[in-house]
Amino acid sequence: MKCDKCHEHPATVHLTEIADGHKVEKHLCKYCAAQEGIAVKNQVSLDKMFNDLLVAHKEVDQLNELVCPSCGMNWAEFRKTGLLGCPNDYAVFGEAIEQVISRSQEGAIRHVGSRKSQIVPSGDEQLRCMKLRQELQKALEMEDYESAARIRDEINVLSKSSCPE
Amino acid sequence: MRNSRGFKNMDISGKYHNIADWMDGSGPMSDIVISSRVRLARNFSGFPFVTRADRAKRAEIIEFARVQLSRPFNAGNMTLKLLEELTELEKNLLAERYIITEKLSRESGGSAVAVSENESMSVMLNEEDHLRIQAFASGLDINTVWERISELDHQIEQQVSYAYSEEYGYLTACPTNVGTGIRVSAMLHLPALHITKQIEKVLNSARDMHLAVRGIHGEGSEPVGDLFQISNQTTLGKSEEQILQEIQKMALEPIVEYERRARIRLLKETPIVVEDKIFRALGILTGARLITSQEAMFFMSQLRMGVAMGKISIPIKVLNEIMLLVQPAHLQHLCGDNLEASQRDQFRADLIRQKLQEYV
Repeated sequence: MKCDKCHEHPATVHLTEIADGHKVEKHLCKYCAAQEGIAVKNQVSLDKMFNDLLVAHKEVDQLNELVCPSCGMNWAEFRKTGLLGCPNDYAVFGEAIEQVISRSQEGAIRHVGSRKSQIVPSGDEQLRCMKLRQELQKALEMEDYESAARIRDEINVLSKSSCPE
Repeated sequence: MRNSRGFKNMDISGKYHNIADWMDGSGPMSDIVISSRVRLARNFSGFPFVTRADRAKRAEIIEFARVQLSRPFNAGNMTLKLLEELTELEKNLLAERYIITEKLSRESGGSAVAVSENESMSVMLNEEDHLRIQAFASGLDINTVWERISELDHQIEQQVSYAYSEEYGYLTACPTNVGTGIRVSAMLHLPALHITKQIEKVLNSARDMHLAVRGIHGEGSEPVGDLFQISNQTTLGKSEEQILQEIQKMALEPIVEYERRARIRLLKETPIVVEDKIFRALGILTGARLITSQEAMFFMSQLRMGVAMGKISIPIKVLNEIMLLVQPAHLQHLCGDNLEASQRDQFRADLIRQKLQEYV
């Protein structure tokens, strides 16, 4: 269906108006609708969401200072790609990420779906596991087998669920 | 028609001459719903997300999955393939068969895929998340697909620890997938809504329900052949069952009903116009000596509608097969050579005539 006004673009805004007791149907393209002052609800892009969020957020600088100690992801980089660097980022970005989630998830901020079947390891333990693995890799690269053995022992102490082999 | 040249490294080349069993055209509402799919996004705890994983880390994640998940993979009769060991053609074939995404098919390395023998399940490794588990079925059969994928998910969870928080549920690289990590989608064939000019209205109301409407190859792909993929966008704050139920009852079933009504209306109001479309499509598909991919998909759509309306008798399976085999990678694979555009159009026309021969 073409736009009633410009007869050029596809009509994507469909209105039913009551004028003088008569029903009038209007089919407009997004451009003509905008000209008539009708706000078109588009699917909100992540990028727009972030910008809105930033404008709303007075402590922009503070937000930009947030850096994940584990993966090095910062807020600006996340804003650019829309992707997080590690599970820990959800905790690091705190309220800011909660707002992003709320906007993309119809306002939801809590999981109500199926629960993980195992005992959930704490974020700290998962983070520690990740760091130890990185240290282990470095030690092996340096051929520092003594440290590697020590790190391996530390990893073994962690529960299997937080640090799978 | 077959030529073995160019099939180097292809261990299962013959397989790609046919459609997978799950595309056989069976299942509920298969006159309109081509297929159902459920996908789960999962990450291992103790590893960075793929975004922050360098080559070595990605290799480590794959190795971790290969060792830890050997039991569930074996139970599901799944074979693991490293993407870097596949040729470009093989990767494109897998993408056309939905086993991997187009995004993954463009990756040069550090990714893998485990695929079941009958191709109804696959697990992509290091796509956007460590694991993207997918299952498919013919027709509108979301619940069966959910049962199968959920079983595999539980089996995997018995072997490894997923990144998870009490608050947000399953943690994913993109916050738009967090929570359940579930994406339910169905591929619908909606020619009558297109002809009766109602398609935009229907698709917009789906969008208003926070559903995504896409072309046949998901994100960023243009709709061809009146085929539309409809999927949920919200993954948090609802249970998996609720998400499945909502998309099925509030979107897919009503859209199928609208399409059916539009078909009935067309048959009632302009029967000759409809028959003309269908039999012209059949005429061109069984007569053309050269046909572009776009043209083929256009007429295949009308032919499929004619079959669903009972005007022509051709098994849906054959139509699904043609629609898959005329795609670029499958066509090239069948023919075995790198074809020029005009040769491709000729080969495509030959293939379609041959497949339809016994039904006209």
